[in-house]
Amino acid sequence: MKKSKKLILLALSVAVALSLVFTWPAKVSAEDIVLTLWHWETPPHRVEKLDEILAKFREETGIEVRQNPISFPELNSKILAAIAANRLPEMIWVNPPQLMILRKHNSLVPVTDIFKRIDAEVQFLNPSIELYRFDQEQLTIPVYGISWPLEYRADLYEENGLEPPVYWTDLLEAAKKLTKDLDGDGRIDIYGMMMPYSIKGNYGSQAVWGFLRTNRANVVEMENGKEKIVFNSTQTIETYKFLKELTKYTSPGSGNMDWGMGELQIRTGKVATAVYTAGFLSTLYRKGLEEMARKWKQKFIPRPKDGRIGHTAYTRGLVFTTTVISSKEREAAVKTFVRWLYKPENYAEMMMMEPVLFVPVVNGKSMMDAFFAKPLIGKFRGAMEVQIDVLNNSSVIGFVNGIKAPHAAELEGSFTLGAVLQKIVLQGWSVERAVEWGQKRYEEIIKE
Amino acid sequence: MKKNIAENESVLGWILSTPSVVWILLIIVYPVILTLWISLHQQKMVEVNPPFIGLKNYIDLLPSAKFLFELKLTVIWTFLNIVLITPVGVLLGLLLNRQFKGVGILRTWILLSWIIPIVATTLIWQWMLEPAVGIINFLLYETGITRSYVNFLGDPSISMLSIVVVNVWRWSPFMGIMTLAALQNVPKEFYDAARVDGANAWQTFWHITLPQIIPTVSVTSFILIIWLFNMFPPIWLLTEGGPIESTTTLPIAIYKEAFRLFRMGKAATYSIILLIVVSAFVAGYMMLFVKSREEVVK
Repeated sequence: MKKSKKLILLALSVAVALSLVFTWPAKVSAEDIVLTLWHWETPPHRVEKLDEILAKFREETGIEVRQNPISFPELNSKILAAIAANRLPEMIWVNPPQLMILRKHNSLVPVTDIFKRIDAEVQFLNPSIELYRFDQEQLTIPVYGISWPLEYRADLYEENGLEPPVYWTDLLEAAKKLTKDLDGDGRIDIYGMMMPYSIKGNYGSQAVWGFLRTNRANVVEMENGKEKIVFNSTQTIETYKFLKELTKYTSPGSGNMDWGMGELQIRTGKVATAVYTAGFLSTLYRKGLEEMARKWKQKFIPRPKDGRIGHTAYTRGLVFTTTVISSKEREAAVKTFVRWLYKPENYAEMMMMEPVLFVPVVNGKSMMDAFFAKPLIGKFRGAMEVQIDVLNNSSVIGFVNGIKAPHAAELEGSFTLGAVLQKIVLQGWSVERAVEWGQKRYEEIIKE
Repeated sequence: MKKNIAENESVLGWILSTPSVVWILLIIVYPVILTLWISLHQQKMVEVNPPFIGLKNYIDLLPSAKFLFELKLTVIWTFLNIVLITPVGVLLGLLLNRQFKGVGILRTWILLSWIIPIVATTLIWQWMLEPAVGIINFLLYETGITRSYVNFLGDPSISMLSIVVVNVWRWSPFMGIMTLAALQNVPKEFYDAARVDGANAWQTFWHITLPQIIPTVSVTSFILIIWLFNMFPPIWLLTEGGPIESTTTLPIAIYKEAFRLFRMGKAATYSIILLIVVSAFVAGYMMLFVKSREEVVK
C-alpha cells in the first residue's frame, strides 16, 4: 500500500477515535444555567402550553427552564438510569411511587423552607401536603392533582327513573338497568358501568382501589416499623364480590382496557357510568361536542351502606433533586422559578395544560379566583368542584392513614388489584382464592 | 522488505479496527458483563453495593412454574410467527415479482406496514381490535360471520394469536422483499430451459424457484427468529403481557421485573437466560448450516 494512502487511513481512524471523545456530553458552566423539568404530560397540547409558560418565565426573569416530557411507562426506568448516571434534572414532577424511588437513592433535597413560604400564600390542600411529608420535612411542592370520581350520564339516569348512585346497591341496579340492546340486533349497545378488569396500564387497579377504600379495605400497613400486607380481609373479599357482579354489565373490552380505551368507550357513548377523570369533558368541548359533555355529571364513588367515602387520586409533586444544590446559582434559579409558578395567574395557566383534568391543590382565594376565571373551567365548574372534593377524600396504595410504605412503588406497579379481578372474571377463580393469591403476591414483593 | 510490510499492515489493521472494537466492547460486551454481574446480586433499583447471592437467582428462577410458562409462551410466540411470516412473505415476494400494471404501487403499499413506526400501527390495531367499538368486530358482525363480540385482546385463549396476526402483518413484507431480491437473482436461462423441457408452473416453482430462494429465505427466517425471541413492542403495546399473563413472553417478564417491581437482579437473570437460549439456537443453526454447506461442497 502506498505510504500516502496509509497516512490518510491512519488520520481517518484517529479522527474517528477523537470524535468519540469530543462528542461526550459537556458540563454546563455556572454562567449559562439551563434548568430542566421532567414530567410525563406528553400529549402535544400539554407540552405546548407548558412551553408557553416557560417562555413567559424566561421573558420575565431571563432564566431558561426546559421541559422533558417522558411517557409514563418509561418514567421509572429513566429516573433509575439518571440516578445511576448521576444525571438527574433539577426538577421532576412525581407521584408518590417515583418519590419513593428517588428517596431510596438519596436523590432529593428537602423543600421545607420554600414550601412554607409558598404555602402561606396559596394554602395547599392538606392531603397533598401529608402525602409528601417525611420526618417533618416536606419533600415536594404539590403541583396539581388528578382524581377519579364517578362519572355518570345524568340524562340516561333520568330517562330510566334512576337517582345518581350513592351506595353499591344503587350502582348495581343502575348498571343492570342501563345495559341495553337499543336497536334489537342482539348485541348490547350501551353498558351500564365501565369496570375494567385489566392489567394493561394502571386503570384497572386504580378503579378497583377506589372501591376498596369505600369499604375500608387496604393493601399494606406498618407494624413496628415494618410493612404488613393486609390485603386478604373480609372487606377486600366483599369488595371483589361486588365488583364481580358489576363486571357483568361492563364492555367486553374491559379485560384489556387502558385509559385510552376507557375514554374511547365514553366518547362513543358505549357506557353510562364509569370511574374516570372529568378531563374528557374539555376534550369533548374542544371537538364541538359540548352537548355530549353536558350530559355527564360527577359524584363520589358509591360505597357500601356502612362504608366510607374513598377514591383514587394522585397529587403530583415537584421535587428538587440533588442536582439543584450543585451550585448556589442553580439553587437560586430553581427557587425563583417555583415562586413565579405559584403566582395566581401563572398557576391558573399551568392548570390549562389540560383543563378540567388537572385539579388545583391550593385553597387560597386569589389562586382559586384566577383558576375559576378561566373560561373552560367556568363552564365545567361543577365537575371541578367535585374533583377537588374527591382529591380531599382520596388515598394511594402505601400511603393510607399517614403511613409511607417503603415498597409503595413496587406494590402499586405490580397492578395486583386488577390482576385479582381478572382471575375472578376471566379464570373463574373464587373471590377468596383470588384475594389469597393477591395477598401472597404482595407479600412476595415486600419480602425482597 | 516483505517482513516490514507485513508488520506495518498488521499494525495498521489494529489501528483501523480499534474504534469498532472499542464501540463493540462499550455497547455489547460491557452491558452483557454488567448484566451478568447484576444477576449474581440481589439488586433492587440501582442501589450501590447490593448483596452478592451467587447463583441463587438462577436456582430460584429456572425451575419456577412462572419462568417455564413464560419460556413456553416465548417459544410459541416465535414459532407461530415464523410459520406464518415465512409462507406469507414468500407468497408476497412471488406476487411482487410478477409484472402487471400497478406492481410498483403495490410494492410501496405492502411495505407501508413495515415502514410506519410500530407504535403508530400497533395503536391503530388496538383500536381496530377493540370488541365494542372496533371496526373488525363491526365487519364480522355485519357480514354474519359472528353473532357476538370477539374479544381479540381481552380473551386469554386468543390474545396471543391476535398479536401474532398483527405481527405477521408487520413482518411479512420484510420476508417478501428479501424473497423478491432472491427471485430477481434467479438466472432467466433456468426458466427458459424449463419451458423448453415442457415443465408446468408447479414443476418450475418446485425445481427451480424454490431451491434458488431457499438460502435467502432460510437466512431471513433465522434473523427473524432471533428478533422474535427478543420482541417487545407489539406485545407490550397491545396487552402488556395480559390478560392473565397469557402473552407474557420473556422480554415482557424482564421489563416488568425491572421497571414495575424494580427487581434488577431477577430481571438480569432473565436476560442472561434469554441470551443463552438465543445463543444456543444460533450455535445450533450455524452448525447445521455449515454441515449442509460442507455436504453440498462434497
